[in-house]
Amino acid sequence: MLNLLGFEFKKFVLKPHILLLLILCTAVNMVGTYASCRRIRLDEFSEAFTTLYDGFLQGELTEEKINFVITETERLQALTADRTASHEMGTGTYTDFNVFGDFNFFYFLLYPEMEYAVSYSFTANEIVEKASDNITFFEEKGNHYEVRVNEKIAARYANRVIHEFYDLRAMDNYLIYDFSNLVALLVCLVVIVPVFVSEKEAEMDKLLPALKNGGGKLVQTKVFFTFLVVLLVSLWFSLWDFIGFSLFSPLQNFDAPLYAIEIFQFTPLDITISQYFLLNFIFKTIGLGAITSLVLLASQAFRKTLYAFAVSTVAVLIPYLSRLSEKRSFTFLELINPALMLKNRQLFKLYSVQNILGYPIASPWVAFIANILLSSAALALVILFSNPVHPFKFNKKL
Amino acid sequence: MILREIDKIFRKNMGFVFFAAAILIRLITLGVEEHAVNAYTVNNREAYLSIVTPFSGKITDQAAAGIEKVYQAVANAQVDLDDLRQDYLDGEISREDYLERSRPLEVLYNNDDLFLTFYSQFIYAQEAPEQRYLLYEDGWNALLTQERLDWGFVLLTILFSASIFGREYESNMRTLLIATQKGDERLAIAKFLAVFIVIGLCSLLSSAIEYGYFDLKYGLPHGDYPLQSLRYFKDSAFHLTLRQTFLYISAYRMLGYLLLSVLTMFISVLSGKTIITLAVSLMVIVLPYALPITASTKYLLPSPLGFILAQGFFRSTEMSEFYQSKEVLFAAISPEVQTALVLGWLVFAMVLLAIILIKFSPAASPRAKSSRKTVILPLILLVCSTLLSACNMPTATESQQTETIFNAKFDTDFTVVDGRIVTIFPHFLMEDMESHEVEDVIRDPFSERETVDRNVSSIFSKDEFLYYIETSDSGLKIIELDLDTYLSRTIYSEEKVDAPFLFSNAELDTQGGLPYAFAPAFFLTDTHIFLFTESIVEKINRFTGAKETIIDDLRPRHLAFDGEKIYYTNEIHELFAYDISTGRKRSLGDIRAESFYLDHDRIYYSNTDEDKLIYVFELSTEQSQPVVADRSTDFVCDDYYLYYINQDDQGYLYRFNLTTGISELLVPIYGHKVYVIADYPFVYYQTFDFPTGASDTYRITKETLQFEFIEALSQSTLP
Repeated sequence: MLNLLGFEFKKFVLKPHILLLLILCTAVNMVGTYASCRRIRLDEFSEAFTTLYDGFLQGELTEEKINFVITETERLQALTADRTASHEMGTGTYTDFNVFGDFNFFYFLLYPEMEYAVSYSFTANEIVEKASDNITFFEEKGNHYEVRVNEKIAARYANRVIHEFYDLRAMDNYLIYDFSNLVALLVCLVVIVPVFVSEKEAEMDKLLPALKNGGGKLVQTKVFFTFLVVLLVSLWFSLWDFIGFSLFSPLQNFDAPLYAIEIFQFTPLDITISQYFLLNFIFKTIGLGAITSLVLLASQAFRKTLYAFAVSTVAVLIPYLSRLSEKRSFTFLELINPALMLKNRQLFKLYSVQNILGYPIASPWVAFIANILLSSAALALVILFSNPVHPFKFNKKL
Repeated sequence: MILREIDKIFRKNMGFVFFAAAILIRLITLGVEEHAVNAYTVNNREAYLSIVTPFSGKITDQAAAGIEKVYQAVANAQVDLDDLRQDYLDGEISREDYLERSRPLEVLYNNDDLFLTFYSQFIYAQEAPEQRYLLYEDGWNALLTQERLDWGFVLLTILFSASIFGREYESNMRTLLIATQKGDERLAIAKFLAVFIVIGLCSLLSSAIEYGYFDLKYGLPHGDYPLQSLRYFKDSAFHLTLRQTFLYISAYRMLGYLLLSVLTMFISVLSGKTIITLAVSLMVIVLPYALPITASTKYLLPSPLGFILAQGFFRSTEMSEFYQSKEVLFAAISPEVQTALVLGWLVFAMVLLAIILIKFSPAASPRAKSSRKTVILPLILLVCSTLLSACNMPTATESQQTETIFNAKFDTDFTVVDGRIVTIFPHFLMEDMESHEVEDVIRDPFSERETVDRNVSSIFSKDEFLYYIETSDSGLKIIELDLDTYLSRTIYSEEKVDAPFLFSNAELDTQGGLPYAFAPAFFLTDTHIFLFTESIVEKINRFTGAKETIIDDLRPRHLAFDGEKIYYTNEIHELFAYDISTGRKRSLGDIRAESFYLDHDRIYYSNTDEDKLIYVFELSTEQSQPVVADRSTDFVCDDYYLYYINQDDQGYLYRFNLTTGISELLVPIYGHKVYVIADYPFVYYQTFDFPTGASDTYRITKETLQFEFIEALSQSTLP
């Protein structure tokens, strides 16, 4: 088996053109990470924020820091209220602009960030209170499903506090970076499409079943090979994403709770950002695996690279171009869409559950299982088609 | 030889199936995507065209004077109309005279929003009358202000170009061909020409489909007007007409497709491997497209993508509007840069073609490969169709319609469901009809009251279920809720595709949210949903989701339904009846109603022509007669009384006895709406203070006429 696997790697991966393509794709992805990081650096108040954060605001949220932001915002608001202050550039205390720039910096950036961190525990508490009220309300109605949902919510969102003031601009940017998913998908497409097609184009498929290792064992190896490729590609690009973002914008505050990032305000996850990295990687890999299984199926079903590629491209692009947004409950088509696993933050932004036989099951898990089932179904078909005596040998005609 | 190659492109390798699939994809994407049009003018296209058409073209002094004259007339329409009515009521002019003169004024008054939309276009054009003309611009905005990538034709170009040489390599025909008499450069050149002709025609077809689609859907009039007539291109460096711009875009696109084709053939000959050819060509387009960079940078990258998109070449620089921002949203690509790009790419393409020629022609190593002819199921179509068809269709049975009367003005925000009064104003609340206990309807711990109040725009009660419509940025949903068990399900949902940014709508958008009356509302029968937004009423099949517009001239929310017919007034208050089973629409007498209330077999209405006095129209005899000698536009009735807000007495609430004909004062408070519930001992009365948004609700006992303030159903100011 190991031997066969080695051959598959030699045949489909360790080719100069594939390796060259991989290097090019990695380079393009680096450009992507750079462009993504550049966006924050271009922000007009970026420097002012960094200076103030490094010098004073970072670390535990103290009375002193909170009061500083509030009083400064109020002071600047009063200064700029009648619009008579000097508009001359370079006169600002915090920014390179003037007192109006300072005001905008505090009012639109710093104050809301501080407010979010300070008021988070109240927001979470309010959710818990409403959920607790609902438990009694729904018990009276006899709606057990809603009782269960609200019990879970009340438990999930209890005791949430943000203790520190974090600079999460880079982290936020990193977690919404999607470009590498597409690159990884295309790399998998290139490697996996020829896995079966090339045997058929070379008429090796006639010969292979006659060999000792050529039948079921070979198909198993090819399936295993596909998984290994997916895992490696996913790992490779996740690694480069991380390297890219660490290089171009300093990633910091790995141990902050995930909900410290505002887009994850209502996330059911009570974990740190670094733990979410791991979860994100697992979900991405499963999604990538599901799409790649479909590509492998196309490779098995067609006799020509051209057709297998055309069909695979549609299978890659349609889910990828579909619009996905966060929801409290997803439809079946969305749950089975591997692109949702790739952009899994949409699954984790809100408390999403699916009503399964009256029990609330977390949507991420349902999507997870749906994608595993999708992969399994595709692979089962691959194995079924590869059996030379299987009853519906329709690919003979293709 | 060329013809034979063209023939091969289509016949071999399923060429024709791919071609058909590409056309299908083009049509589907055009149909599904959101277009950069002003929804308001599109929905009222006829009326808007009648405003725009007389003034289309360059603004002359005469036209400007004409537009200003209409502007004055629109601005004064309300006053003039009031004066005219007063004259008529004072007996100074005859009824015929009044009707004749009031009608055009009413049209003017009711189309004032449309005219103001046009007027803002006029102000824009007047800043530079030489290069900004007036025209109906929705079609052109949709066609020119959006960047489109035609996925189907990109794939088609790649597939055709990859197979033209790849096929010969794969089947080892190449070794044979180069030995034949015509197998030298002539064959390669024939292949080039064949591919270029096919790709060129395909790209023309793609552009023609796009042009034809928008011409049919919105109309593309006055293609000879300058590009700058569209606000989106106000600073564009190009002095072209609208149609020329589209031709240039099409030409750029054709160049883009041809370059992609050359690139694909080059990789094909160089690598000799189909998969590498296909994948690299796809990456060359897809990766730059998805790269998180400024839109304008995409045009400068080493990829034919820029030419295939093409639209951005004609845009001007656009900066972020935030304070002191240096962020460039789009950097214009100057004509010089464009010339350099085109020339550079042409030279590059020539070099590539020369290399292909050299590579393909000389004797080369034979390959031990053979191929067999294959027939393929049109799986692409299969995949597309399974992914796109979402619904199954259970057979709908036409069943008994309910006899409940629905009056949109009242029943969309106040209704009774299974022993509870449900209201969405001031908040989405329910009150127990016996204990008068008030509770929130939406129990979601994550949504805040303000969000719920903003998003739930209409409610409806049927068969002991509460239905409500919930709008959001991503679309709208109609949800069915059982208030006993609190089980809910979504019975209809509509996903909205992101509307592209559009300059010409920017000003409309900043005027704040749409007026409350424009938010979507609905009512249901067993088989259909009737959804009304602004002036449109849509009939949606509850099982198949099939949707059709049945009424397009509704005065927002002025609609009632008795289970068989929809009664509504149009923009100039004319009353119509629309039969939902036959789809026939009929004018009801010569009635013009400022507002109306449908009772079982009669319609009470506020007579526009008679100073808003309340009249009644008998549906059986089609006769109309005055009822109350007070002016009012807000009234409801039960079997014995008509409750109305008396405009002749400071907007206080009155009650008119339908048998004795006696009016009496109920609540001496200036009010907004009154709600009555059949066989229920209370009437609800609501005030609304426009500037602060404060609203008080009172419960009036019918027997004793005592009224009490309900704090739980009131709010002090708008949040």
